[in-house]
Amino acid sequence: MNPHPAKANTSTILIAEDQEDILENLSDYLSMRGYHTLQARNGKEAFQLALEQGPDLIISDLGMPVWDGNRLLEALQERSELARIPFVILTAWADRQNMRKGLLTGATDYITKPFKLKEIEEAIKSHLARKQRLEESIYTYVRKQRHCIIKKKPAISFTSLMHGGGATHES
Amino acid sequence: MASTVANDSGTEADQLDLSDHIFVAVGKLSSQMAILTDAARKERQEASLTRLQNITRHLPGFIYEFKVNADGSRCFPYVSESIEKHFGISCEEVSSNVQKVWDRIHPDDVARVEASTAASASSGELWTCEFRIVRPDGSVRWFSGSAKPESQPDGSTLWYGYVDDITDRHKVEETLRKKTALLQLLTETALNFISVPVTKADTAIEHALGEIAVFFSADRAYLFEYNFQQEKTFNTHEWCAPGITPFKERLQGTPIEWDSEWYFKHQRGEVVHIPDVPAMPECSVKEILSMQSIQSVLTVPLMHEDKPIGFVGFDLVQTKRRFSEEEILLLGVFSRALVSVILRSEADQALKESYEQIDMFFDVSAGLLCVCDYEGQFLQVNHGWELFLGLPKSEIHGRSFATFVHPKDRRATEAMMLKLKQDKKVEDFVNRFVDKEGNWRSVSWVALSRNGKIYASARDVTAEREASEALKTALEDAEHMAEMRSRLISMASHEFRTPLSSIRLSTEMLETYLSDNGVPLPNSASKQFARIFSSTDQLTDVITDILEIEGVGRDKDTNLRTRVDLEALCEEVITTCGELHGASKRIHLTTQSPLVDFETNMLMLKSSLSNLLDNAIKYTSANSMIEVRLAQSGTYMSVEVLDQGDGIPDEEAANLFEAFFRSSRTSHLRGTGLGLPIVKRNIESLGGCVTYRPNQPKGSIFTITLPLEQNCTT
Repeated sequence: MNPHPAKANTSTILIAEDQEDILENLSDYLSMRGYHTLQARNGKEAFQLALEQGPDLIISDLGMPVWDGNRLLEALQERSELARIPFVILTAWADRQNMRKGLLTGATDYITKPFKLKEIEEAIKSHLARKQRLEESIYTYVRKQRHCIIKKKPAISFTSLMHGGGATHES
Repeated sequence: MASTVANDSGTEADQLDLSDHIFVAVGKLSSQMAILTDAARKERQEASLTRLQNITRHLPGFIYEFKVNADGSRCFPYVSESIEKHFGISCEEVSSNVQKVWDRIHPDDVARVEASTAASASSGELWTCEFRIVRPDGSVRWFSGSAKPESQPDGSTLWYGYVDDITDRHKVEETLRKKTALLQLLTETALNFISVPVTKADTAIEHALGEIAVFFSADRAYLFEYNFQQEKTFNTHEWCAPGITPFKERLQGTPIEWDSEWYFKHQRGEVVHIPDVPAMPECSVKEILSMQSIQSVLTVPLMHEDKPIGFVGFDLVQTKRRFSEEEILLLGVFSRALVSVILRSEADQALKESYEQIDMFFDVSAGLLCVCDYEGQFLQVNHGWELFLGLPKSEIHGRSFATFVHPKDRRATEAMMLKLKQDKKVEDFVNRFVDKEGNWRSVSWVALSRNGKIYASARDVTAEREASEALKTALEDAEHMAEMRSRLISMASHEFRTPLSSIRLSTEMLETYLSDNGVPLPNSASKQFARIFSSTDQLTDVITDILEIEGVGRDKDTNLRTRVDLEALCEEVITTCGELHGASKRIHLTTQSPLVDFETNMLMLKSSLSNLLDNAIKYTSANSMIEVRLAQSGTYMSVEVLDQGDGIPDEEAANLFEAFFRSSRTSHLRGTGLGLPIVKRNIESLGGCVTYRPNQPKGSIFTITLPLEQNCTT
C-alpha cells in the first residue's frame, strides 16, 4: 500500500534539468507525491513550457545547454504573468557568489546538490503554500474592494488586509 | 824725527809707537853707528844701541834690517831681540843662518812672502805681507810685516822693517767673518724655506743641515720629530760629512724620554750642548754618545706654540767644539725657520691627503659620480662611470652626456638641466643611458649646481627597475594563479557534487520505491541506505568546507555589518543546534554582564558559533553539560563554549586551528578537519580571535573575542 497516496493535487511543477537521471528521478518522485510535472532539458525549452502551461512552481538547474538557468530566470522576470512563479534553483554550484546572484535576479530559493528529497519537497510545499496564501489574499482584497465600491465605503489597503486588519470588514 | 831720537836722552822712546817712525829712526841710527869710530863715539854708539834695545824691547813686535845682495844672497844685518819671543829664534841664530827664519814661515805662506819681497825689491814700493809662523812648540801665530826698501850703491837692496803679531786681530776678524757668513747662510736658508715648494722641502732641509754643519765643522746634522702619541722620536732628516756613518735608519722610534734631562730641556725650549763628551762624568748619555764616537753635540728644540715638535742637532766626531752663545742664539733662528717649513709641509700634506681622500671616495663609490658643466659636458667622472658605460675615463671626459641619453629622455633631461641652472636641486630624476654594448640602462639622479658646475651622483637602477617589473609580473601571476585555483576548486566542487547528487537521489528513490510499496525494509538494507547517505553527506561536507576555507566565490557581503544582539543570536543558535542533535536540554546560556548591541557580520558569527556548539555536542557524552557564557569587557565581547568532554591533548592544542588537522580523540568521528580553521578565519576577518584552553576538571573551553568597534579585514 502506498503510504502517501497521490492527492488530488493540481499543482504543476516544471523541472528544468539537463542531467537525465536527476530529471527523471525528481519528476518520478514528485509525481508519486501527487504533483503534475513538466520536464525540460534546457532553459529555452523550460521557458516555452512555462509560457504554454503556466506551472505553479519551477525547479531549475543553473548549468544547462541553450539557455542556462539564469537566462531562463531573467526571461521569466520579463513576463509579468510568469514573474511571480516561485523559482527554485537546484544546482551543484555551491558558492555564495552564484547563490547571491540567483537570489538577486528573483529566485525564490537556492538548493545545492546533492540534496535530500525531503528538503525539495518541503521547499515546494512551503513556496506553494505561500503562493496560495498570497493569491487568496489578493482574491479577498479584490472582493473587499469590490464590496467597498458597491457599498460606497472607503477603500482599504492591501497591506492592512495582509496583516488581518481587513478581516473585520468582511461580510 | 830721527835727530830727535839720536840727540835726546831717550825719554821720548816710549812715546814712539808707529813702526814707520821706528824703522826710519833705526835706519838713521845704524848708518851713524857705522861712521862713528872713536872711543867717544863708540861710547855714544853703545849708549845709542842700549837705548835702541831698550826702546825695541818694549815694542809689541820687532824691528830688523834685511838685505838682499846683488848675488842673491841675503841676511839680517840687524834684528831686535824680540824676534826670539815671536819666532822662537835668537838674534844670533838669525845672524848665523838666515834660512832659520824661512824655516819658521808656514809652508803655505812661504811662496807669498817670497813673491811680495821680490815685488817690493823690483818696484821699490813698501813691502807688506801677512804670514804665519810655526813656532817650535807647534803653535801658529799670524804676523804682519812691513819694510821700506832702499837700493844700495853695491847693487844690494836693504829693507828697514817692523814685524808685529796680529794673531788676536786675525781671530777677531775671523770671528766677525764667520758670524757674517753664518748670518748670511741663515738668511739664505730662511728665504729658501719660505719659497721652496713643499715637494722639495725635504731636500731643502737636508741641504740646509749640510750647509750649517759644514759651517760649524760638524760631522753630522739631523732633525728629529717628537711623536707624542706614540711617545717616540723619529729621525726625519740627516746630513753626514764624507766618511761619517749615517744613523737615520737606526734612529726610528726611539722612546721620547731616552734621556729625561735631554727631553726636559727641550720641553723648556732649552738647547742641549755638550762641548766635550769625553770629559763628561760617566752616564748613559755619555755612553750612547761615545758609542757613536761623538766628541761634541748641540741640539736645539724646534718650538711651536711653546712645545717642542722636534729638535735639530749637530754632532762633531773628528773634533770638539764649544758653540758660543751667539751661535746658539742664531741656531735658534734656524730652528724657527725649520719649524715654519715643517708646519707648512705638514699642512700641505694634510691638504693633499684630504684631496686624496676625496679622490678615493670619488673613485671607490659604487655610485656614478660626476662633475659637468652647464652644457652637460663631463668634466670629471669616477670609476663607477667607466664600469657603467664600459668606456675609459679618457673617452668620457669632454663628451656631453646628452650623447648617451635615450632620445625619448632627452627633452626631460634638458628640463632637468634648466632646473639645475636655476640653482634648484634635482632628486630622483631617472633617464636612460646607453652603454658600450648598446644596452639602455636606467639611471636615477641627485644633482645640484655651484659656480657654473653641476655636481651629480647617479645610480644604476636598471636591475632595480627590472626587479620591480618582475615583482609586478610575479604578483599578477600569483593573482592569476589564485584566480585559477579558485576556479579550479569551484569547478571540482561542482563536478563532485553532480555525481554525488545522482548517487544520493537514486538511492533515495530506491528507498522511496521500496517503502512506498509497503514492503518493510530489512534492518540490513536500512543500514546500507544509512551508510550511503552518511558517506555522501560527509563528502558533501568536505566539499562545502573546502569551498569555505578557500574563500571561493566569497562574496563582498562578508563585509556587511549589521547590529547584533549577541544574547538573542546565541539563543537562536543554541535552539537550532540543540534541536538538530536532540541536545537542547544540556546546553545552558549564561550572561555575566549586561551586553550592548554591536555591529558585526551576523552570518559569519552565527556560523562560527554553530560550529563551536556542534563540536561541543558531537564530541561529548550525551549527558554532560555544555555552557555558553557571554560577557562584555571594555571594548570587547566574548563568547565562551565550555564542555566537559575529553578535551584536547596538550601536544595537539597548538595545531587545533590548522586546516585538515584532526585530534586523535575525534578521528574516529565524522568531520572534515576544516571546521575550526573556518571559525578562526571568519572571526579573524571580523577583527577578533578564537582561542582554546582546557576546562577544569576536564573538557574544553573555546573563546571567541570580538571588538565592539570593528575594522573590516576582509
